[in-house]
Amino acid sequence: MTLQISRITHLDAPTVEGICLTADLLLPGSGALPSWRAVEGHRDLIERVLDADPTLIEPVTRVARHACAEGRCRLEDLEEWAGSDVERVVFALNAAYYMAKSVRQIIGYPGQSRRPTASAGPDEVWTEELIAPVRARGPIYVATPEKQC
Amino acid sequence: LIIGAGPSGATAARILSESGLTVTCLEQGGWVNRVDYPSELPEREVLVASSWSAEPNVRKHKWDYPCDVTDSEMHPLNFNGVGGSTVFYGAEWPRLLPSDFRVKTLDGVADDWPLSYEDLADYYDLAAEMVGVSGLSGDPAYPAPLEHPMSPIAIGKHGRKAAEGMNKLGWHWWPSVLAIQSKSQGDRGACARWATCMSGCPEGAKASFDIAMWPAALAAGTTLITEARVREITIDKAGLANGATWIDADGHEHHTPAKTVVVCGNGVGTPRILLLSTSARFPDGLANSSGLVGTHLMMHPYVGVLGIYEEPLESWLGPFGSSLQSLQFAETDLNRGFVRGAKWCATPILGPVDALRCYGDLPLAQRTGEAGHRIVERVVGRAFEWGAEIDDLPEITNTVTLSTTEVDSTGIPAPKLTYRVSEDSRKNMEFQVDRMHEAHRAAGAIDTKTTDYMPAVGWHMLGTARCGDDPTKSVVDGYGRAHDVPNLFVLDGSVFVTGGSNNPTPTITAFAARAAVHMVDNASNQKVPL
Repeated sequence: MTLQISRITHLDAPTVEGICLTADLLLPGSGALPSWRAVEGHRDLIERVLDADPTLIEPVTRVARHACAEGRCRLEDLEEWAGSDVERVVFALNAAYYMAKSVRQIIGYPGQSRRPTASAGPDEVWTEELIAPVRARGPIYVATPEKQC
Repeated sequence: LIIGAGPSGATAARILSESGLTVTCLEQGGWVNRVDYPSELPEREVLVASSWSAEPNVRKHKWDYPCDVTDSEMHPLNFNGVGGSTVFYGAEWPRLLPSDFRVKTLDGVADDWPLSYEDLADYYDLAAEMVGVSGLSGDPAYPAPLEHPMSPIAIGKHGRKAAEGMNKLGWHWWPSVLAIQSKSQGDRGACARWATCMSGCPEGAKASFDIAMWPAALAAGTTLITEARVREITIDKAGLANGATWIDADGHEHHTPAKTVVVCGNGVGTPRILLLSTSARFPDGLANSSGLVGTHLMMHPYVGVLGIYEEPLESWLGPFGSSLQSLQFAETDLNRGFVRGAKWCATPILGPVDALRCYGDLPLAQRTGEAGHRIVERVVGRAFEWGAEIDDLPEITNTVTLSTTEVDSTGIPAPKLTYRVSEDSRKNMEFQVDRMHEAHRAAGAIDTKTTDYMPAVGWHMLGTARCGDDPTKSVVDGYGRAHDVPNLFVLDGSVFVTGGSNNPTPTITAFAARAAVHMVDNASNQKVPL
């Protein structure tokens, strides 16, 4: 089994605009976090998500085309256009946006990465002092009974 | 002949081969190279929700069989390939408790196992040595001595936070015992806290059995045939198992003859194969004169409580599933209104997508837009979940049968699960949720949130070919030998009489090791087809 991701997704301009309109609703940015448009989630990032799970292409582009045609995307629009796929569309855009390095940097999330257990500092390990109360209380298990019913 | 290359199949293959027996193993999936794990990819979360999902009905790989869950409140999670579901497991390695083997005697419900904790203790030790287990010795939740081959993995800042809360309440906690190496050995590295244990460990630190057990089994001479989907175990005129019929990746049928057949397909795959293996002698399925094959399915329902903290906890660091565990509420206390209990584990909340998942029950308006951003800013790096695995008692009505509507890619009927969460389990869950909120608050959480019971957490599939001394009340004996077919063995999670609340893989492995040693010791007396 291999999990090679093929780069197959190339979104046309109307779809990109529709995705941006959808993201204006879902990922508008906050005081600290930039908007979807600012991190250009509609370029490489969303394509990487759709390449990783091509079954997301249809619902995402369906919603995007509706949004582009209407020139807007409100929550009720999204729920209507996506139907039972609404959670998958939200997931796809979230996954793309939060892959952005600039976003991860702001929230302090380095991504899943290597940090050997041997390098753990004293505030990351158990100590005898910490576990002493547990030891002091003694056994808590119920022993195997001598006789069975 | 062994069917299934997961933990029990790998363990049996190794012990039998190292003892000089000729062993062939049929595995319906293939090998995964750890360099192909998506754990280092930014797209990991997308892959884990699709082609690399632990849920076979989502993953839909050619190695998988579908599971009919139309009548089940829990959905199975697994991996069909060499190493079995350990490719995806969190490698938590707690033994069952002594009382888990004597539930009938102690609590008056369910049944006792035909073996005790003490009968299995040496094989727990053996299994830990074989795969490489880390942990802190002396856990007072178990009889002494309980030692582990390697020192424990760092519990992380969130683990210390959890421990401080438990200390305030006077409740048990202990660094999780894990089948994850804290020191490098051979080509397997030490834990590097990627927290991607459940999508594959890129260091090889986690003891998935493809890398932790199979190399030794192959070196000892086991023949492993991959992409070999067993359709039926065959029998001779005397009613002895004499091999298995299987289908290769190109759809061609084969038959491998055998003197002894060992089924290791776990709690769903094993009853499926036995029920498929019908004959004039066994019209209701092989080894099923008791009618119990496929019944008493247990799946360990799971509930969690998220705790959010003011200070940074770097909670994207592993290990994942569990850095800390508690058995404070694992034993029966009838004052709680239910029997048995639960094991707790402290699990980090990783990145933004994981954080938003915890709020998936809210209306969209409360978790998208600026509200969604606020959740991420508040939760990422500052949260962990206390989770409780519920000891669900065996119920004869919770079953694995053959689906009448779904088939796999080769046309073989899919397994159908029928599972209802019992009233006792629901009371158990409610109790544990309340206590987990308390634990977080004692640790200083600024907010807590219940993660409701979810169907898609069926990691542990147990009890569907239960062991026992009475052939009318069990399928196999305490060494996994079928009461009806003396050269047929079941060595996986199907044999569990009760499920306990601890993760089952150590017990599955220890049971398989004990049974394999017993098979070797009694090989000269083994009935085989002529």
